[in-house]
Parts: sequence; C-alpha cells; structure tokens
Amino acid sequence: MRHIFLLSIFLFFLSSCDKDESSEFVDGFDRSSMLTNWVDNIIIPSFIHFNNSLQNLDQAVDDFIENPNAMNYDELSNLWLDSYKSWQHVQMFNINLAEDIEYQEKINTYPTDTNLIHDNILQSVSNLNNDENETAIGFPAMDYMLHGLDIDKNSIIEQYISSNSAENNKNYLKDIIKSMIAISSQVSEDWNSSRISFINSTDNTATSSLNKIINDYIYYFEKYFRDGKIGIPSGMRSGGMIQPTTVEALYKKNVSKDLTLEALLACKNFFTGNSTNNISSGVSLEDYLNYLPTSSENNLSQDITDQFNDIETSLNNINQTFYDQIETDKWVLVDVFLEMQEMVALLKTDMLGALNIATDYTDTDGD
Amino acid sequence: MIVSYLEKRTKSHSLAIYRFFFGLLMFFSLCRFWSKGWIDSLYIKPDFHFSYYLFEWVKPIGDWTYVIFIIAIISSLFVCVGYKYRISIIIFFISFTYIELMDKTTYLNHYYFISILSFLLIFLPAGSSFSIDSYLAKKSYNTVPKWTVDSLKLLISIVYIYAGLAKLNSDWLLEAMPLKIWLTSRYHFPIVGETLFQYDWFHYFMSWAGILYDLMIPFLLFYSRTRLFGFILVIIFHLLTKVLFPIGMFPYIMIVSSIIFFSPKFHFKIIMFIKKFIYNLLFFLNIQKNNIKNSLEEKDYFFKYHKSVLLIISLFFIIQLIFPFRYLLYPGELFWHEQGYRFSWRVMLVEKTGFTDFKIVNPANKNNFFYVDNSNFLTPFQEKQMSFQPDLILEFAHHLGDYYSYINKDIEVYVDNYVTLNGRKSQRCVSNTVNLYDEKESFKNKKWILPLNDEIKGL
Repeated sequence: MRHIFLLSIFLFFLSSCDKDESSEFVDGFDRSSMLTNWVDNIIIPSFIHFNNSLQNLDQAVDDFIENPNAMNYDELSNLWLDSYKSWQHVQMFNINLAEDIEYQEKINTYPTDTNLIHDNILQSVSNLNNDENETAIGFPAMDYMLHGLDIDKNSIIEQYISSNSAENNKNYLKDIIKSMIAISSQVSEDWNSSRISFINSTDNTATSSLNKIINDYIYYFEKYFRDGKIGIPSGMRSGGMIQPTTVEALYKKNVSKDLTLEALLACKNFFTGNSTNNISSGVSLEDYLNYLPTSSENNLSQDITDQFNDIETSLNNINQTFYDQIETDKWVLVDVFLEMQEMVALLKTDMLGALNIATDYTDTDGD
Repeated sequence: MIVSYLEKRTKSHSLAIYRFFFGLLMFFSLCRFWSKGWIDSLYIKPDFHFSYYLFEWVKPIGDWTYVIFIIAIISSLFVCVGYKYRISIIIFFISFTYIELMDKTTYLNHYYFISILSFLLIFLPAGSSFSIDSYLAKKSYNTVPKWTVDSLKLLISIVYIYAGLAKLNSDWLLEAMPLKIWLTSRYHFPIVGETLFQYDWFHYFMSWAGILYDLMIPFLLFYSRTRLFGFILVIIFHLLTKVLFPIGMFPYIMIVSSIIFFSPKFHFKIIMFIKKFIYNLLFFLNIQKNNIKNSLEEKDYFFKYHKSVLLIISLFFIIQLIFPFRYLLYPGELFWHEQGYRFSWRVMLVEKTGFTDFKIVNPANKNNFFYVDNSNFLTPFQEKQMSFQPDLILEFAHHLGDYYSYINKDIEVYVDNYVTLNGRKSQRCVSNTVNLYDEKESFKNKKWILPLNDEIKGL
C-alpha cells in the first residue's frame, strides 16, 4: 500500500509539472514523421501538381478564346479532365485556410447552377470568388461551359464564335479559371507557410493538426467521396430517389468513374503514405495502426487495405457512364456504395477506436 | 441493538458542513455548465432528444430551459447558506433531476449521484445549524441522530464499492482495458506521456491500483487511524483522473464528499473557520456584528415523523443495493448490450466506438430503400453517443420511422450498426435483419441485439 501511495504521489507530481517542449521519444510512435510525410510527400506535391495543371488549363483557355476551333477545344477539354483528376488529390485536405474560405465548395460544388451561370454571363459578373457563386464556378461550372452549353461539340464551339453571347461566354470561361487559380495559390501558400506548425502539432487534442487531418479524412471519405460521388446520385443518400443529374462531371458524363477512381487512389495513398506520383512511401496511418497494440492485434490495416481493393473492384463493374448506369441499373452503383459503407464502418469504429483521438465536437464531460 | 443505534446521536455540524459544501459545489457546477454554453448546445439546439423509458414526457422546454437552470442555481445557493433548507433542497432535487432526464445522451454516473444524494438530503436535518434558517429562528440544533450522518457515508461507500466490484472482470484485470487504450493515447502528456503511459506494466498497475482504491477507500476513510491517509489518496486519485480524463466536476464532488467521514470535531473546526471568515468580511464591510454572536438557543433535533423517514431511507438504500444487480436478469454480455448498465456505478469500464446508419425500406418492395443522413436529425455528440448504445438506436429508429411514414405508413427501419468494445474488432451489435420500427422499448430482453463474439469473465 505504501508503495502505491508513494508512486501515486510521484505520478501526480509528474503529471502536474509544467508542459515543456522536450518530449523525447522512448518507444512511442513518431507521429511527427507521419505528419511530415503527409505534408512533404503528399499534400504540398499534390498542390504543386494541381496548380501546374491549372496553369496549363489557363493557357488552354487562352488559346481557345483566341482561336475557338476543334483542336483547341479538345486540348482544353483534356486539360480540364487532367486538372479535375489532379484536384481529387487535394480536395480532402480541407483544414485551416482551405476550410475557412470554403475552398472545396468553390472548386467542386455540383450539380452546378446553370441558371446562375447564365445570369452571370448575361450581366458580365466577373468577381466570382464569393459564397453566393459557389454553385456557378469551379470544375462543374467549367464542365457546363465546355460540354453542356449546347447539344454537341460543334455547336458548343459555335457558342464561342458566333452566338450573341460569344464574348461574354469567353469572358466567363476565363473568369472561372482565374478564380480557381487565385484561391488555389492562396491555399497552397497557406500550406507552405504552416508546414512547420503542422508537423509539430501532434498532440491528441481536438485542435491538433494530427487530429484535424484524420477527422477530416474520414469526414471527406463519408460525405464527399461516398455520398457525393455515389450515395446521392444513386439515391442511397437522397431519400431513395435516383438523382442522375447529381453525378460529378455531369456534362462530360463519361469521366465520372475516372474521377472516382482517382479520388479512391488519393484516399488510399493518404492511408498507406504513398506519394501521389508514387516516388516515395513514408510513414502513415497504416504504420500507425500496425504500431498500436489493439489494431495491430486485430490486423486492422490489412482489413482497410482489402476494403480499398473491394471498392475498386466494385467500381470497375461499372461499364457505362454513372449517369446511364443509374438510369438503367442503379444496383451496380449501390454495390459500390455498400463497399464504401463498410469502409466507413472500419474507419469510424476500428480505426478511430484504436487511435482514440479526441474528436472535434465532444467537449462535454465524461465519466 | 438496531434500536439503540437509531437512538445514538452526533453533533449537527457534520451535516451542516456537508450541506454547505454540497450547495456551493452545485452552484459552481451549474454556473460552469451554463458558461460553457452547454445548455444551448445540449438542450436547446438539438431538434431531437433521447428520453429515458417511462420519462418520455421530460423534455427541454425551449428557451425556458434556462429558467430550470436558474431555479436549480438559486436553490443550490439557498441550500448552501441553509435558507428555507427543506423546500430549497426539494426544489433542487426536482429541478436537477428534471435537467438530467431531459436527454439521455448526456447521462453521467455522477449526475445520477447528485440526484440521489439530493434526494437523501431532503430527509436529513442538514439545515438545523450553521444556517440562515437557524439564525432567523434564533435557535440552533446541537445534535442530530447519528444515522443521518452515517447514511451519507453509506451512500458514498456504495458508489466506491460498486464501482470497484464492476471492475472485477477479465477486461479490466487481465487485459488492462480500457485503460491501455486511454493511457497510450495520452502520449502528449509531458514527460510521462511518451514513457510511463506507453508501458504495458503501467496499464496493469493503474488498473489494479484503481480497483484496489475503489474497494478499499470507504474502509480507509471509516477508521480514524487510516482516515488521513485515505483522504490524501482520495485527493491524489481524483486529481489524477481530473488531469487524465475530461470528467468535469466529478473529482471535486468526490473529494468534498469524503469530508463527511471526518470527526464532528473536525467539522466544527471548519465551521468556525468559515464563521470567522464571514465575521471578518462583515466587519470589513462595516456591517453591525454584535447581535450575531451567541444569541442562538441550543436544542437537540428530533424527527417529527421518525418512523416514516426511517422507512423511506431504508427503502432507498435497499433499492440502491439491489438495483445495480438488475443486469443479472438479462442474458448475454452486459458491456455489450448495456441492459442494466446505467445507474450502477459502472465508471470508466468500456471504450466503445460505433457506426450506425439507418436504412429506410419500403415493405412492398424490399429493393426500394435508402440510407438516412443522421446529421440531419442529430448533433455530432448525439450521433456519437447513439452509435454504440442499442436503446438510443431503437429510439432514433422510431423517430426516423415516424418521420418517413409520410412516404408509406408501413415503412420499415433497419440499421447498419458496428461497435468496437475495449479494443476488440468491430462487429454488428444491433441486428441488420430486424425491423426496428416494429420493436418496442421495454424492460424485456432486447432480442434484436446480437451477442458479442467473445466472453468477458467476472461480475
């Protein structure tokens, strides 16, 4: 009893000491190196890649505006897809400035509001970077401007040559890409400047970057990846009514699956720690789960990896555009949804349980 | 022997000082609760509230909920200073208990402790001395029946010992769960976070020390020779839990509660100390003080309805002793199905995370279904709590069934529910093949809860 007593006093004394910075490792997991891997090998390179793709897209827009022909149109459409794919690797990092300025809403809110777009075109609205225009900018708006303005390619190109609003259409196209570049460079800059504080914020608290990025990863997977891409269009998360017009890239149509596969790869890379261009593989959640006693015993990281593969397999069962698939046989998409659902269960129960991370909402007492 | 025990008397100071601290602590607890904005975020913001079975009529009343808190806060102050004590403690008991019954999401053992403690205090003459009541009536009761003070000690002992007994299980003793998960995840604590908290032996040490503490502390406090040691342990233990876990006011409540175990002499000293402080304060504020001193007539307190009060108190304790064992009436693993889990001093026993999505199905065509977005109905906190507690899942399923019955009044509600328990792999808890909209809440065994694929041995 006396030993317990003395030890308790000792412990109490220790735990009431002032916080200091010298927390040296004895046998703990190096969370800082996980954050370093994420920011240096995944987040910042993905932003560089994305910003470059936007620059290319911007050039293609200029070329097309100057000379609206079929060749320039194809080039523009291809670069739009390249950039859209590249975007799938940055959307999930919705913390700090990105969250504050509603970055992902401004880049990828779909379905886009075609009425608002036409109003803007008509009134030559050029300042688009505000909350009211979130449904009229970004990739979905560009998708409409490039693939939905008219019934086919030639008539769409005509919209930029001889229609009454040709000039305004050109301007609007340019304004969209301008606003995307502007906010993207802002967010990139924010990541560059907050890199050090990001890496060092490894505490298990609701506001640490470690917890924020993991919570956000799961939130992204559930709300934007599962629901946005599959759940809502298939009716699974929209009251049972199929909603084919809510698919991503509605006007281009045949690329929804590519974008979803790209986003899946991004989710997987974040989990395994692989860099986007596959150059390096560093410390990540996979290693963390293998380190923690309960999840390593349960082989959790293997389960999650397997589930990523199951999602990919189910996605590859889709042989037509999401839009057509939903109209003809939504069950192929429902299967994808159910696979994603199983993943959400793994992430929200086993992974969050093993990490025991402080969530951002419960600040009430426990007992 | 029992009769002679019931006639034993003790100084009234012990009850008085307990009343004083209890009221004061409740006052600060409720103010703290308010200042954190929890009245708004827990009781006013949510559209839906989880109710206790048979208490479905207890709901927050919009902005008027603040009035309930004001009533509880004022009555706690009245209890503290002993003004209209009996009616104040009754009002406090009712208002506080009402608050706790408003939403099951926020259930905490220590809130329940406060509720039953204030119920017990209704019957104890805690306002008979060192109170405004006795000052105004110009009489102070010098002694009270000894059992009144002992009943408080008994209640506190029950809390500790039952909390200790509940830890007599294989998860706690042999796996050091859930402390292993909790301690390792507090790696950011200075010095000990990356060292002690990561050691396996330390998790076992803390588990075993914790259960020893719970089982022994009432005895240590009871005997005068070990009392000081016990009290120091109480302070260390509760401050330690305070540092480690987000448990709010609970540590302070338990620390202050253990003061009741000290001798009446010691309680008298505290009272004299507080009195002196008040006199000095009054003097400092230039308020007349000469008429306060020694003008009280001293008497002994006797219950008007001694037998009825004794009957109520005895019944109260019999229920307290039996109620936590009601889980034996349900088959299966208590930590998993949670039938009979609450109101039983099961503290810090389980680490659960859950995932629960609801599926609305058209019975005419089972292929016609969709999933509900919980966040359209629940706050993130409610969703988290609901996700691993079967009775909350059932209640919410019924709410969804009612809501979506505009589509079809025969609608069926199914659930995709996975739960982890103390580091085990997640598995389905509520069955995904049972239409929950057809199941009714009751005290009967919930057959739609799937068994845990494992066994936890022990109590």
